[in-house]
Amino acid sequence: MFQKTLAFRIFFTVSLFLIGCFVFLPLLWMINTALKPADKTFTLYFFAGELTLDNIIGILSDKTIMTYLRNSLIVSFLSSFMATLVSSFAAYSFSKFRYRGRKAIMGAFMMSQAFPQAILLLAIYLMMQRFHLLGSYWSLLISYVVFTLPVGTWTLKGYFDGISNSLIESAKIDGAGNLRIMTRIVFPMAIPGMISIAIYGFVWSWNDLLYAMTLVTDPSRRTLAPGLVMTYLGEASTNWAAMMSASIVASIPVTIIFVFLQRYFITGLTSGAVKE
Amino acid sequence: MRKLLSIALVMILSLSLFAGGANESTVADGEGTSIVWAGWSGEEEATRDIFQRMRTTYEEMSGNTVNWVGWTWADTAQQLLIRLQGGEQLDIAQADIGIFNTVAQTGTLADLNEVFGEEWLKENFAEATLAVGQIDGKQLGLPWSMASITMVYNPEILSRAGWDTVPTTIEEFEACMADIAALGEGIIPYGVSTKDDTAAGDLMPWLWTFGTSLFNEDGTVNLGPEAVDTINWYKDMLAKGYIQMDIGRGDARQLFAQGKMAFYDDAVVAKGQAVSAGVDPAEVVNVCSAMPRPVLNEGDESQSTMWGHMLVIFDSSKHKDTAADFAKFLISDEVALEYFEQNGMPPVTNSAANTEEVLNDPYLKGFLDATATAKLDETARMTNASEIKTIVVEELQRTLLGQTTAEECVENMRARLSSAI
Repeated sequence: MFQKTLAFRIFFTVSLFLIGCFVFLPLLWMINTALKPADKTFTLYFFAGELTLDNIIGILSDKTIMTYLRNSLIVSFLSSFMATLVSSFAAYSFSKFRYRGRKAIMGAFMMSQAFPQAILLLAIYLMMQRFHLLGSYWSLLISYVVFTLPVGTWTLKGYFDGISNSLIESAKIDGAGNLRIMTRIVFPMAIPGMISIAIYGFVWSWNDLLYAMTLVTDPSRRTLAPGLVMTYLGEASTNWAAMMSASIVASIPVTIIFVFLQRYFITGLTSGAVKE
Repeated sequence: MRKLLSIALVMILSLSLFAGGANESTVADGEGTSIVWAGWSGEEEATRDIFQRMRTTYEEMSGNTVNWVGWTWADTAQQLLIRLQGGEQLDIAQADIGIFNTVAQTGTLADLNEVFGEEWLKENFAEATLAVGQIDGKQLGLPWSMASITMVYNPEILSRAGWDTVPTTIEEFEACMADIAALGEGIIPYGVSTKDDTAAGDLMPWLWTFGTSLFNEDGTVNLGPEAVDTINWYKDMLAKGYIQMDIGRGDARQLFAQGKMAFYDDAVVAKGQAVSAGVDPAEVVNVCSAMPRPVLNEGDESQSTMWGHMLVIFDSSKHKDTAADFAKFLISDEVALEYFEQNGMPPVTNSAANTEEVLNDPYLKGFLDATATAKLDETARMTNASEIKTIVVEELQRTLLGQTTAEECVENMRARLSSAI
């Protein structure tokens, strides 16, 4: 009833417009700046002046930036896969097994989210150094898995809670072991949830600046976020046009992944929210 | 599911091959020594090539290896501390005046009097230049590039406002700002910082200009009656629209590069923003020139703040001699002058600083003139510099926003600074 009133429609349209402005204006501004010639970066016009693709072509033909892009893809895919795998096993354990300390460990998982990542940096740095992992992708992969684990585990636990125990019991009666039950019965039913965690892990590692800058200092292994910041945001000068162009290029992989998998992402996140 | 998992596993195993790899090389290559040099300029677009050239030229000359480790300028202090705490190899680093004290307070820097020898340092540097790198009688920083943060102006805007020469006194400066405001082109006459740490940095030389300072030489709070005059002058400029709230150094640089600002305070690196905005490096001086800060009364000394980059060598380094050899190479005339030519970084050794090339550079001249009387930022040697600056900026902002009077501002600042030191 309420949805059909004129007042609601006006409210809805205005709200949509305002939210749209907040969401899309920065993106449009980024594209606008990327398309301006370098000497017009600070000239205020919005797509209605001189535009050029030189900045974007420059980024695409920049081998260093492409190396950063490749490195980011490797790290993000690997960490997202590893985080999903570990989260799935942890969540299955919390959901389907009963053992002493289970709730305490679950609480500890959630508590670990309460600490800002920057505080953990020094401890993680020292650990990586002790294990001789500084400078290798493994230092990043392990860190990203650690940060994705709490959200991943809790999200997937909600998912697994929704899978009937009788199904698992039936499989056991048929002679299936735990690993077989997990990989052949439970995980296939949780694909949307696992994909949502994979996307979450991918985006987390794709956007990370602090850990990527600290743990890997070799330029040939550097990922995109620190690479762009170090290249274009300098002590005294800032190349906004190149920075914006590079940001557009950087956002393409994440956008493609999200567009193709958004159906799973939304299903995965909302699953278990309502008890039926 | 099984197929999906198998494909994923194969992919991951393939990618894992890339994920491994050696740590940063810290071992000596061949017969030479391998040192680690850290900083930020070797990462930046404008200086990356010349830093690479510095390293390779030195490596070819000496047979040693220089491994560069870089971060962003803003993160360098934090990253140096993390690396030091981790005990990673670190031999020599680039440090600007702003972070020098933070790094020095860790007690990890080598006394360069011992590394280079006091005599050698005195032979090659002016005493005032060396003093910038001294803490508690130790020479912890080797000057590399130095000038000052002074006022920068746009000659074209001044010319349009009818000013062919720069204002030299505050009275003239106010008249000039009035003429610029009268142009009606939406130009902000003066982009003095009114937010973040840079607002405190900009206030200090004006306090000195009016005849006072934040602290006395013994470290107690000064803020004499002239501080009230300074704050009232800021308020007056704001009321007349000569300055604006919510302007930081970054904002001022951008607005200046757009031609929307006539004056602001900056270091010699101001050139970089102008060049990034499309100005021909040779033409920068036409739109971005340094000038002496106007004085209160004719004959007063113009005030500016010391700015610069130093080289520091770490006490924990096992290759101090090689690091020192590399530092000498970096400040050598040939390398320093090339750095100056390419990036405008003023050399500091007696021999390089006195070459015709440096002395007659029209862009650098204003900065070098101002450097003659430049002072260190009053918080440069304080361990809680950030807290001190925050107090100054908060009280200044409250007054500019009309929440307190200039007298209350100075009283509050005095009380809070006294508690903080």
